[in-house]
Amino acid sequence: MLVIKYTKAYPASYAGHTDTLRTIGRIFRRAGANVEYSKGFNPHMELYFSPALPVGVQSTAEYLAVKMEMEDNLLDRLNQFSPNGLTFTHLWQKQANVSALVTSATYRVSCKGLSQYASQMLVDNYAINYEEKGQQVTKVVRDKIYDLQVVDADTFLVTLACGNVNLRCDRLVNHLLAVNNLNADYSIVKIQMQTNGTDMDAFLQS
Amino acid sequence: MTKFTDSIKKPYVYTGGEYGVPTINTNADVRFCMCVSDSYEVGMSNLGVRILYYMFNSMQGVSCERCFAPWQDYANHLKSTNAPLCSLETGTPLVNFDFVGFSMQFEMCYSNFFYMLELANIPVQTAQRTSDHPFVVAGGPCAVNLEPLYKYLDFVFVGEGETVWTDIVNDYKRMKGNVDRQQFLQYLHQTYDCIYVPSLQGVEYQDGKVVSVGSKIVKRNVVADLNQAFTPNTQLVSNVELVHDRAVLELFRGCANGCRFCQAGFIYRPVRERTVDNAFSLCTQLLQNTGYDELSLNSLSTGDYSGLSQLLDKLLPYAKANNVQLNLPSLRVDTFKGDYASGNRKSSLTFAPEAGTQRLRDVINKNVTEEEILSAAASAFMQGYSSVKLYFMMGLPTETQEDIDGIYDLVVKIKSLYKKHKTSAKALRISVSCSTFIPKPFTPFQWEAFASRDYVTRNQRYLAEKFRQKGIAFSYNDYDVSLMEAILARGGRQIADALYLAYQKGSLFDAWSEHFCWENYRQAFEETGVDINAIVGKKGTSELLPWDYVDVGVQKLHFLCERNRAYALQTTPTCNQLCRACGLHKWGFCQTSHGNVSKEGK
Repeated sequence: MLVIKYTKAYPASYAGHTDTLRTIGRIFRRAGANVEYSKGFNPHMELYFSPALPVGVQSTAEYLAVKMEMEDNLLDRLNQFSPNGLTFTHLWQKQANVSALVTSATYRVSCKGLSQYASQMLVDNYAINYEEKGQQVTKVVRDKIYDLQVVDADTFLVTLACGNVNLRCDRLVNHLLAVNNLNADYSIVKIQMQTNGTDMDAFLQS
Repeated sequence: MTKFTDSIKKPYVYTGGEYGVPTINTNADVRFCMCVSDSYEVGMSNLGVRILYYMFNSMQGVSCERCFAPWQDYANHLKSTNAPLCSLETGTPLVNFDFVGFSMQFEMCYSNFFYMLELANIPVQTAQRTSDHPFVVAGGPCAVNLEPLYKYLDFVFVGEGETVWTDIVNDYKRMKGNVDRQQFLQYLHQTYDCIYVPSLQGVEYQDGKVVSVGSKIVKRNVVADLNQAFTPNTQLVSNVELVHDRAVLELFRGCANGCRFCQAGFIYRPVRERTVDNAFSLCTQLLQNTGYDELSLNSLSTGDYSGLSQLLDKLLPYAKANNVQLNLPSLRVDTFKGDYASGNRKSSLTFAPEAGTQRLRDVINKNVTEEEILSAAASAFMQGYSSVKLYFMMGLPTETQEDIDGIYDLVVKIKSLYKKHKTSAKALRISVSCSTFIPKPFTPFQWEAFASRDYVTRNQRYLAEKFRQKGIAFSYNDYDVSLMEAILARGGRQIADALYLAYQKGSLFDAWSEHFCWENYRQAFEETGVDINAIVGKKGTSELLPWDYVDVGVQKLHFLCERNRAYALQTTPTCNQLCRACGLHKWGFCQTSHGNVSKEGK
């Protein structure tokens, strides 16, 4: 089993999660990587992905586990056959289900003038409004916000629950924009995943 | 950029950057923008577009990019930011290209053509375009009658693009800057048989009827040998799911069967097959280069490919070893053998008997018998298939109540076969689809009338009720949609103004039934004084037809002869059984082409 870390940037970040899974399967096929197939009635590649990233959110810290033996130059070969925006960056030989391991993730949020309002999210019982399946919902999310670091007036880092317990960073940002009457464009990049507070990379390295 | 993804439903279809995009030279001498006036997911699936895209990009000094019809949300985004419609590869406004070419696959995408031109700030009418504008051109199957768009297209390429397009682009490269727009059009008009320049044809209409189609006969361009023709060994692989999201190999072009309702069967003649080696080699290259795990062998009638079992002998083991799912669409009932599909997932099987009785199948020259249909179904059920789709048509020439009832009876017979032969534990899923026959140009039925609203809706209700009682899923086309398609397919210059007017009234994405609005068109026809009945009604065989300036190779005399045979319930054998001298033999390809030469003993 191999675990591979990859980056999902523009324009690949505009494609949804399931579309991206399909795309990555094809990259492995083009690169001639010898991935194992499931033995069932409808065989499929044994690929396991970290939790879904919302459309438009970029990431430098996505992971996938793949059932295969180590091969020469695998990262280079994968990158050679990738569409714009997908880059494979690290490789570990390890049995690890990243999707089950991940507990939190850190995001870099860039938005003109938003940092001054970021601390609002730290108040007790902080709740956000968002639309889900056509319905407006309000949910208390304070318990899913683990850390906030303001970098400058337009940038902050926020660490949120990720995995089985999850808070979508884009919902948090959209709520902050709405309640503070800001109409600026923004970008979100997931920069790290953690498992019980440990950087996923360090965990995979150990 | 994230605001963009929050407000646009399918942001990825506007970014480009798919795997397999060639390097685009923005300083190329000739820049071509290949457009499909339908959604990205539909347009990207098109084989003709794919061939020309890679062919242009392989030429010295030429670059080719793509553009598809955006959904309304993105169009609003463009308008609100005052941005024009741009190509996917380099984000170049369409107006900056030398050629903006539309692949017209289907009549119902004409309204989107206006939509794309307006979003691109290109004047809709040819007369309003100047040297600052690209040539707006069209090709594809609809090119055999694009008269409804005559005042919006600078020129039309009739036929297969692999050969003459390269010459035209090279001519343009050479002449660019030395000749003006009109002179170049004049040059094309005089030089190329397959080029139709509507403004130079000298077509005359009186009282909404064509009285002269002009002096030039436009000859459909035909590629002699598919093995030699330009064929890309890769495809663009999108990050989002396409309508046909798989590797596609064109096994052969043309069809020898001569079904009388089928326009494609006549306008793609003659049959030109790839050799087994060429086909197999392309299949493996396509799969390797794209990474697709699904392959489709396409043609108008895949079961008729003379090398099918030889090819499958090579392809099935390759597919198994490489975890590739193989699709064989367009299998005729008489060629279906269950073993083609063995080893694959038993998905749904589609049969197209087209008509309910043997008499009517003889009229339309669909040369399959009820026994063949039933034995193919039985063999499929024994192979483990548990899902069947059946396609029929309604409103065919000479159709009677007996034929309508025949549809129901045949379906019931197939249903009862399942109990006897099934090997699957699943219950049979059977769905019946009955479309409305549209008499298209360049078929033996081109003179026939399109069925009336009363007749079609009455019989649709009748069948729907019968199938409902039997618990069989039955679907049919909305009459208005079929009527519109008939008007667009058979119309001439008299409907050109109405089409633009309907677009202005809000018609868009007409091919998507949830968007189609007949009322826009009805009003537009009324306001411009178009007599719909004259277009979809029966035509006299001596009458001049709007599309008579095109020579597809099959002669009018042959169509007339086939029409008479239809009325006399006489079937016509396939081209490779007996040449009926349809006219194409004079072009000299029929007998040299593999798969079209007479098969002995047949």
